[in-house]
Amino acid sequence: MNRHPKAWLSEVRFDVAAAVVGLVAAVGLLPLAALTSSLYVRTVPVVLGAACGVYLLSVRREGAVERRLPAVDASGVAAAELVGIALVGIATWAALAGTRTLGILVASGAVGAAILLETVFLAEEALDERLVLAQILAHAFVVRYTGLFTTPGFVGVDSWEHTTQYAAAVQRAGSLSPLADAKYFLAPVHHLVTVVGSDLLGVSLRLSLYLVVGSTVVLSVLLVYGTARYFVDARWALFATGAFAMTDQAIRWGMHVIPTSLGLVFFLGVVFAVVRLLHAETGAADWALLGGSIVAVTLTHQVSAFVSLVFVGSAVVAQLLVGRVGWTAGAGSLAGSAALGAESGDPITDGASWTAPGVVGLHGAFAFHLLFTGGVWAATPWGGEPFLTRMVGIVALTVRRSAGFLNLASSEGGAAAAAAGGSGPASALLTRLATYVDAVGFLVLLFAAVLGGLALVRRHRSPQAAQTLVVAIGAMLFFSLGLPLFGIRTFLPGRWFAFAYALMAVVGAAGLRHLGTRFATRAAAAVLVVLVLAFPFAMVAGQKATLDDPTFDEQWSKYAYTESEIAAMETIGETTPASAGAVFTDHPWRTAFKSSGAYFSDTINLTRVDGTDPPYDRVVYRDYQSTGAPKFTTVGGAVVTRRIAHDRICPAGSNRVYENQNAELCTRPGA
Amino acid sequence: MADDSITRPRGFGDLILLVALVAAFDLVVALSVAPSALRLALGLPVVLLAPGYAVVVALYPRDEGRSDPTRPRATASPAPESAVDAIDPSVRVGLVPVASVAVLAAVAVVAAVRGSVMATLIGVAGAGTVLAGLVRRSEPSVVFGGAALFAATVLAATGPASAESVLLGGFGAVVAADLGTFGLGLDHDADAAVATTRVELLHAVGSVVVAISTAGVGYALFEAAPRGGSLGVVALLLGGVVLAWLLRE
Repeated sequence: MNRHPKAWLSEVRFDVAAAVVGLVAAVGLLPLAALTSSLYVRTVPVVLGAACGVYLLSVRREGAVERRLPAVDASGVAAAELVGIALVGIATWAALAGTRTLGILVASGAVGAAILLETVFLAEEALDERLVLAQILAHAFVVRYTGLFTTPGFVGVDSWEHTTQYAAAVQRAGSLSPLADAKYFLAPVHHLVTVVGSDLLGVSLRLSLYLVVGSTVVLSVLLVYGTARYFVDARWALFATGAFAMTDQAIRWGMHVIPTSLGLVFFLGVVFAVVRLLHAETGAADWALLGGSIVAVTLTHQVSAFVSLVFVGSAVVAQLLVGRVGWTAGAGSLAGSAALGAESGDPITDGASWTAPGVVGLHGAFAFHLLFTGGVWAATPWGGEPFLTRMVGIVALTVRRSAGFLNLASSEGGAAAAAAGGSGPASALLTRLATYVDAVGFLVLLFAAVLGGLALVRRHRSPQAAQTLVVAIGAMLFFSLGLPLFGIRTFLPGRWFAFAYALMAVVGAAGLRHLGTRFATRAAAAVLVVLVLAFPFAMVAGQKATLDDPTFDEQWSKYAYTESEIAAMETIGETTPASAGAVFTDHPWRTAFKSSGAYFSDTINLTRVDGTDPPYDRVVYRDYQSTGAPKFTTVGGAVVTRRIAHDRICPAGSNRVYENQNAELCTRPGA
Repeated sequence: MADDSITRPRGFGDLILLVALVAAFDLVVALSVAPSALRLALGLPVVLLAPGYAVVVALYPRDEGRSDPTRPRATASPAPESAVDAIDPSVRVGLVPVASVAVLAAVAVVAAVRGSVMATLIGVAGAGTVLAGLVRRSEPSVVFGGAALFAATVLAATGPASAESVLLGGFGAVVAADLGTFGLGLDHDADAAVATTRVELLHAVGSVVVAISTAGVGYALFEAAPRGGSLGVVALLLGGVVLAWLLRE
């Protein structure tokens, strides 16, 4: 019998095959846990295997009637009022406390959990999507702005530099000439918007940054709703929106407002435009929306533009998979799929009739993205040469020199946790607890996304869109989790999570919906309650979501400073002559120090304060170095998080050149 | 569950309100008499909403399109005149500040970037559009791309670009658009089996001769105009218009 060489592909049930492969891969990866202490190497295979296993179990129940989750017959308006009162209470509490205390974080997590539970379990007639969206936005604003407005100065590392150096210089000059040698010369959107906001509103750059850029970052989560609405019904689209808005990474870029934040906003525009083009009756306006978003993301931030390029590239891969390979029906066998009926296997048709999905060509959009972004990068200056050639050189060098399997280039968080201060068992337990709390949210999202990915590739409606998201999530997790396994961190893996989370929230919502409709009502509801409760608490209290006042003071560094520390920074910056050489202090304070003056500042190496190496001429001490989680370097340049006594930084014989409530500048006698 | 219907009121009430808000804010800024709180209260919606609202309304006019995003698309390639799916109001709210920020940045870029850099960007986009128009056999795209190339040349003329390169770029843009549209016209009118290379070459020679002649006049005007003023640009524009007219004839 003659068969087309690819015929077998269209007969394979792709979702089941992928789940089996995932399960086998997860089991195969389990032994890696013995080779490394990396949390993700230990946990990701377990989560992957669990999700694939649950999906395979659900496939066995496919003939059963679709179940409905138990609905709570309460008033949606009353729930919104309660959420509103709680959020006002949290804002007032933070204003009185002057920071986001642990209690405030717990309360924020509780309100987030309430919103998600309301979204999942409120009866159909009581669920008003605009009311829920308003609650999600209000929660997002309160979580971010309580942190921003109770923190003097800026939160994070780069926001100091972008505002006090780049944006301020552009504002003074009235042109982009101050950026002429920086890689932001052709990616100036963030700085320009900050400056324009400041000029138009008559406010400081800081306030403009928070009000104009910060608000846009929060409001852009509505694009996740728009994207999710094409995949799932309104209830689960609301869930996806809420889940994304509550992720630690979304909170991080809403508080640490830098070009990455605005890059994320335009990336959401790219995702929405692509998904819309793959689903809706579209016209030139939709292509304009996609083109405009691509141009905007390219002119905002290089990493964001690369992530966007990977996403649009994933859409082209999906186009080839669906159009050429023949996985058009997602379910594999076309006949089998059609026989299942319109709704079966498709989580979102809402009773709509099934139509031939067709393929939307996105290769032109990808080519435009590639050419435009590549062209801009070729003209972007970076360290005296074009950004494009220098970046290619750096990647090649990294691959040649440091790449190797399990050559784990440690992330900041991992290093900090591993070397956290204190040696007692209680401290070790707290260190482990902090590490797991930080990972729980991601793992819950990963579980839901794997489940959702398997469920979505079986959908009838626009399998190209489903496969775009699945391929993109896979590619993005490869860049953020896979390449660091080989020692390659050139692509800034930490920046990819926020972008991946947007897609994972959409796909994850489909996954949890699948869970709810395939298993016994009570069991599914119980699992959903646990996941929905754990997720917001873990995310809102995660390391990246609490840069302003960490949940675990001893394990996670604080990336915000007191009034006294900022005053010390400014005075020392103004009074220390540039000829004096470097000023040394802890990380991360030294990063903000850069913005106080044009001279060099660096991290204290502990070998130069414990007598091993010659002492520094100028060091700056702050109380946080004895009470918080400051980072220092030590032998071989390794970074450690360690508390250190005042007298070791400023010994008894040193000169106190400057001193205030929290900080002091010490110089070596005779220096 | 809220109704999925997204019908919106007809009329221009919202746009008139928007213009009034912008005008009020302009007055507040121009007169510099209002307290800063009022400037902030009026300015924040103007900055965050006004530009983006206009863009979103222009892209997705109200009262058009189907309202249910879960409905499958009827065809993979809808007819050019078919209704575009509407955008959910909640999503519009998300799109508006994003578009506002993009517009603000674009305006600031035009104000802040030197002409030559901006001209390069627009020129690259124009060249891409001409090529895309030729590949897709779209005459409007070729014309639009040629116009973008010409605009880039005019922009370059306001910057440090030399008169010679500006002239070369300007006339090159018009000739490219003319040849492109002529070729597409032939492609449309003539049978695929007919060889048109000779006709196209003749047209190209004619166009280039006209271009060189006009370039001389344009260059003379450019050189005669006082330095530092805008008359040189006007001369260039005039030359471009005359050239375009001659080639059309």
